[in-house]
Amino acid sequence: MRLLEASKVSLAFRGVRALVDIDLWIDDGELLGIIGPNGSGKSTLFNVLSGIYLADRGSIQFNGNRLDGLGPAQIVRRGIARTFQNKRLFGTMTVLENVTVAALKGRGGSALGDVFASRRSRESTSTARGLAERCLERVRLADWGDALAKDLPYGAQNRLEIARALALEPRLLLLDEPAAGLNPAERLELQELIRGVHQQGVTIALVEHDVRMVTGLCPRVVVLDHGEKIADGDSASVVKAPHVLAAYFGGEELEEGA
Amino acid sequence: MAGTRAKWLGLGAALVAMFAVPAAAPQYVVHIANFVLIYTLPVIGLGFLTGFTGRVSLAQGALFGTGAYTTALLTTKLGWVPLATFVPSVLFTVVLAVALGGAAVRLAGLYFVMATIGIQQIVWIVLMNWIELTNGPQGVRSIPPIGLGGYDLDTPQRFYYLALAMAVVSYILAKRVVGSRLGLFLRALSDDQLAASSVAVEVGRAKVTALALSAAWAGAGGFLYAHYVRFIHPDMFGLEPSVLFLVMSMFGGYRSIEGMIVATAVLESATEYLRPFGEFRMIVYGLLLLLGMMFFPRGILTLVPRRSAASPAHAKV
Amino acid sequence: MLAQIVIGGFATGCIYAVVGLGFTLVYRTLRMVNFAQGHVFMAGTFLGLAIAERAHLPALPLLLAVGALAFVVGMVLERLVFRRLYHNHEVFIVGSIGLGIVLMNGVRVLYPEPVPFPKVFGTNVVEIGTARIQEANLWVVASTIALVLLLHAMFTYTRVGRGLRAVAADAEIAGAVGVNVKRAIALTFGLSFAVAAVAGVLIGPLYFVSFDMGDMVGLKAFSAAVFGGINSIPGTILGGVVIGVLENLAGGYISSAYKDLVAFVILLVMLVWRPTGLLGRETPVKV
Repeated sequence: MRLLEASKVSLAFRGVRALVDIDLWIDDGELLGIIGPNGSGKSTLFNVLSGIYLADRGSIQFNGNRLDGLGPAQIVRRGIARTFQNKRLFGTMTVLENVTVAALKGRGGSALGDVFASRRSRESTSTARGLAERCLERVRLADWGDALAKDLPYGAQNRLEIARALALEPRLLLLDEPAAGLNPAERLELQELIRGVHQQGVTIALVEHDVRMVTGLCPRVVVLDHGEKIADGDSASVVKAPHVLAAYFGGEELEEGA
Repeated sequence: MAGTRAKWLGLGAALVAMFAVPAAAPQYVVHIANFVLIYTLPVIGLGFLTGFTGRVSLAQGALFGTGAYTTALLTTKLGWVPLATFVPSVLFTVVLAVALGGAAVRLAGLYFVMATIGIQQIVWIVLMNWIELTNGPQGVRSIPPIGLGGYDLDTPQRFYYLALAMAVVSYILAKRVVGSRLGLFLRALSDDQLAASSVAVEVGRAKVTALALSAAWAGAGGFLYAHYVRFIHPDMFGLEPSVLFLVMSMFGGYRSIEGMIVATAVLESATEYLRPFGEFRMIVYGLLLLLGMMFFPRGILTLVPRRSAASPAHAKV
Repeated sequence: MLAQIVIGGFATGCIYAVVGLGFTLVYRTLRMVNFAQGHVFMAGTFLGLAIAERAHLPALPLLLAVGALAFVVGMVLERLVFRRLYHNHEVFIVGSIGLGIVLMNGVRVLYPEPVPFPKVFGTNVVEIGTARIQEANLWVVASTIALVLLLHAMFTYTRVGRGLRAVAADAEIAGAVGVNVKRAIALTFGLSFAVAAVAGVLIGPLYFVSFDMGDMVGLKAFSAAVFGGINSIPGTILGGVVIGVLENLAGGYISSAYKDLVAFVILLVMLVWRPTGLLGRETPVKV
């Protein structure tokens, strides 16, 4: 069944057309890859899907409900979580706190309850903390719980972003270039992590430059170029298609996991 | 853990020392201490907005005054018992703050400051000019002292214990909020608002909550103030005290409630020590503000080496 | 009667507009608000007072002298003081408030009581229709117009002025094309001090002057700037005049007590409704 269905989504910034009539669908349980040269609109698409940008035209349906016009917090509650390409962590908070915030999902009590330490407030916080700790274990950051997020090395910050998204217990996870800046060993780890999360029933859309990772993980791939979808199909054949290669012409955009 | 045990012993010792003050110290020291204790309330309240949400407010003086006037008018005009006016004073201050400022919290930093200036001035002008209600520049006199268990708290020494108790309670509650889910939300939105809403934090509601909390603390402080000085008038709640509270909450360094308390104590005592300067007192005060901002923009407690913040998992309070 | 109120308000509004210009100039360049501005205005008045009493200068030279001196002081203070406050908004605000307090109390030490200002603009009363207006008020309006024209000319036709506009638009790019950004900022402060001081001299003869007159005027000028658009010069002028007139109308017809409320209610409403002001252009940063 189609979990996400975006049709004719378009967005322009001051005359620059960032997304042009994008039709995108993701089936429940899929692991979809989204690739394209820099500036092709991949992150913009994620921003629209996660409610950060409002599309000029088009509609987005998730799980049967329309998402148009909802803000980020509401979209998260509907079950879509995302990571950010440029790592938007809560720098002054600890690793555990970063994930606990997400695990709370904005709920769990009232302000008055927080002031007077009501049982509901305390319980929801400790439940959230438990979930956070499990998510940290999934990404192997359990030992870093008390470190400040901004003090983390790059690879660990990556994993923290993912842990935070996992704590939101999403149905659809949008991963925005999670492998950027990772060395080969870390990339293999990341690949295994993504595969593991997917096997637990989370639908994933993966934006990546590392084509080998994408073809290794995703049976199906969508290609964006200059805001338009230029290909959509079996990953092995799409990445070799001449018009896709032409979009990447120059070669430096295509990484082979280096 | 050794670290936390030492910290608790330190706090315990400080508390004991503070209990001894009225017995051991001369009256004027107790008097100053009372002001320090009273002021910690609006300062900590302001900390919710500044330190944790990154919103500077110059309206805290007006909110402090709202609490003071509410209790003053209820007791002098309607004859209420002081203790009975505590909840209404706090409540009314919160309602006023949210009514005037609720729409403004979503504004970006500088615009929000501007809005709070508007709020501050509007409240002050009303206090000054609505003579039928507030007596205007004449102020409200003969505010009754708070009565507890038959005692009237009408001397600095007696009042001190109430002020100390309230300061301690407000400290505990504030620490609790910081370590709670609301505290997490506020810190997250202060660090990265976009990321916060991307993890389901209701940013708008959290900001209004922070505003409400800051107003509650301010109103409570105003309540105490009115029953201590027992004569209030609008100039006590103008832009100047707003700036003072802001400075106290900033000088301690962001997000450090302890720092704010220390800064309050230091700055309030300093204004007393400045009395010998007479006319030049305010010039020195202005210079302190200016030089302080020029050379210690992150607060004086940043001079103290800090360890990594403890996570809620380990916070005991 | 109405004409009298409106024209009087117009004159006061010009003062708000000119002082507000100082806020706008600094904000456009630095995105910061200088809360000492009101007290600079007041200091300008007393500077003018001191010079007028000693040197007995006529109107125009007096305005120029005060303006020039204030300009220099503004540049010097930028270098020595303001430059260290750019860390963030809060630091700048509190620091500039501190400076304002120093200015105010410094003047207070010298002039603890309100004093009259020499009538450098003459004492004639002009009749326009049914309104009787003091000559000094006309000076205020005329000077404001002249000032605005001069500033406009400077910004449009001189190299320095265009450099200032460039820095206001985008400091990084301006620097990249060779504009001396640091000097531009210093000049901006100098200008903002100069206009405030000139406004101080303009208003001097109209009332008694005292060390605490800068507070309210500063805050209302600030409201005027926000109302009209804190990054728009024509907006600030418009804002000042509108607030001045509305204020006077409210004072005349509703109640003189709540006259002061006008500016601040407008400020609050404007910020919630349209933070960039009537004529401002910058994208409002909400959320």
